[in-house]
Amino acid sequence: MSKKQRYHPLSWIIEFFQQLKNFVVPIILALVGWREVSLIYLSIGLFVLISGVASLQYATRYYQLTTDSLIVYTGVLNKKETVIPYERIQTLKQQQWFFFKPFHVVRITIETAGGSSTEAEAILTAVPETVVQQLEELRHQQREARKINVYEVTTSQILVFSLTNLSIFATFFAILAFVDQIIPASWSTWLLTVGEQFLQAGWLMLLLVGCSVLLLVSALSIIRHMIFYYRFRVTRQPETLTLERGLLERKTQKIPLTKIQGLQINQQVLRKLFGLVSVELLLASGQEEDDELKQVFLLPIVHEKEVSQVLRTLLPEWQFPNAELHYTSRNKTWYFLRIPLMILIPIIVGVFFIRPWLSIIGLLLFISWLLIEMVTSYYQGYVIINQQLCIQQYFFFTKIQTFVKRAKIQALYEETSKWLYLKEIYHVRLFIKANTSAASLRLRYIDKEDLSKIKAFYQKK
Amino acid sequence: MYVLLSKQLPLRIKRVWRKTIFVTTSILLVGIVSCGFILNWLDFWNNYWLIASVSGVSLIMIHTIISLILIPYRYTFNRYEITNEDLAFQKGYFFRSTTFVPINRIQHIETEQGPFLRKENLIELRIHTAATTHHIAGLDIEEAQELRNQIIALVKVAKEDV
Repeated sequence: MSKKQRYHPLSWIIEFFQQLKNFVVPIILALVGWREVSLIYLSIGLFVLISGVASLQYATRYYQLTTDSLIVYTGVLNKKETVIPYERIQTLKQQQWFFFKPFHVVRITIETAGGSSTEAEAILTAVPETVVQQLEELRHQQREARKINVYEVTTSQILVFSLTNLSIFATFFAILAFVDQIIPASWSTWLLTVGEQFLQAGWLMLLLVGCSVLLLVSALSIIRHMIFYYRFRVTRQPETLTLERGLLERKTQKIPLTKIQGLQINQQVLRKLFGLVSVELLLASGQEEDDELKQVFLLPIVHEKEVSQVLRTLLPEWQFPNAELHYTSRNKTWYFLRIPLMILIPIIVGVFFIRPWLSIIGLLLFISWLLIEMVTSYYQGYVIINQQLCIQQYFFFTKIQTFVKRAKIQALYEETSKWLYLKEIYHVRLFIKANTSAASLRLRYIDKEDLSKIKAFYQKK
Repeated sequence: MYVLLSKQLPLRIKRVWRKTIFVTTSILLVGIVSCGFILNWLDFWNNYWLIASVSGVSLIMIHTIISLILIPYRYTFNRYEITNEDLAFQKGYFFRSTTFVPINRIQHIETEQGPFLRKENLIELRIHTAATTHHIAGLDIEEAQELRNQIIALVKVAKEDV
């Protein structure tokens, strides 16, 4: 940064008075004791002595501003170097004597948190005024650069995460299928007879067996997630996010901030009950392919209320709106329902005449489809903040909020039909590069006004 | 009124489309017929196969006829536009869609030319972004070249990395 520098020559005067103060006692002693020497000689001698000391001090004191710290050199014979990293500087005081002013020189006192003495860690007796500014800037830069935020997921959170994971049920059925395939036929007939006995023993027994299988599956899920997400840790460095996780094998993934295509906050129905969400990073492929988990979680599980707080500390350059979404299609529920109705009513009626009981299953599916569409129409929305867009959608019963920076949107696709066009209703879809959910940014049946807002956001330079 | 984009493909593309439809149809038909002969030769041929192949053939014929009828429709509503900021692609009249691709998102451009396109001195342009691919079905070679250069020049000006 800068070279080793002497203080401004004016510091010599300060040094002189300082030494004068130090020599007060000898001076008084000399004045009292050495009556025979004339006062003039005595004062000349003292002046020479003191100025000599001051000059020596002046000649051996330096300061230096390096890229990361301030170094102060003192000492005539016993050389001393004080290194103060900029980010450790607590206070910077400046003083300016009247006679410093014409030379634009100040005295700077630097204090750090350390050091028990009441004395300042370093004093720059006389330096150009610009040094203050320079120090302030360096200090600020360092503080920015070194700012590290860490978030760690607790074990109990991983526990809740694994228990609320809907893939538990998938595992459950996989195990059933596995049992069905692997176990020899004689065993399964035996199982069947046992099952019959169970049935005879009553529903209670059946319930007990079901519960124990579910418990087993949950235990498996817990073990699996513990192995994967044990001590999940996110560290924010100036340019990267580092994710660490794993029990048996500690995996570390460094993600440059510029490579983040988007961010997704997901909440599926089971986690909604507990008020929990998970945050996923959308990355362009080419990131190391994770063997089993395609998703890259930034926060596998976090409480709804905390999420924006945590994200703000980890990614301060992103905006996370809490409840400022603009809902697009609350008055258009009919449009969401008409296609399922058109498809399903004839099918269900037709099936009813062939197999009445089948149509009941159909009816259940039909109702859940309609429900999904209704929820979608009610909750889909978006909000634009500066260079960033947030879209909220429902995918089955999972609420998905996706945050994307404008620069990462690759294409915009708008869709309408001859008839919807007259009513000024459109669909819009945004494409971003992400290996899991590339085309998921979609809003259906929105007003032209909303479409133009999104388009304007997307197209502005 | 529905606003159509300014640029249309050259008229010759219709001929290319027609030829493509004919060729695809005949390949499928030849396939079905030869399957029938093979089955007959293996003594597997029966009435079910007859019903299946007749319905297959008629489906193909219906599809072909509809495609042929729709060629003018396809031609009229397949449009594109290039401005300094973005490319736009438009499709359809009853079901309408428009795609916008900002120039600075374009990663690379590909051209392709099959025999039918070559005969008409046309070329297909494929525009890739980091996430999507877009087609312009057929352009004059000079026009495509020009367009390519134009896009590349624009991309150079405004480059944003993924």
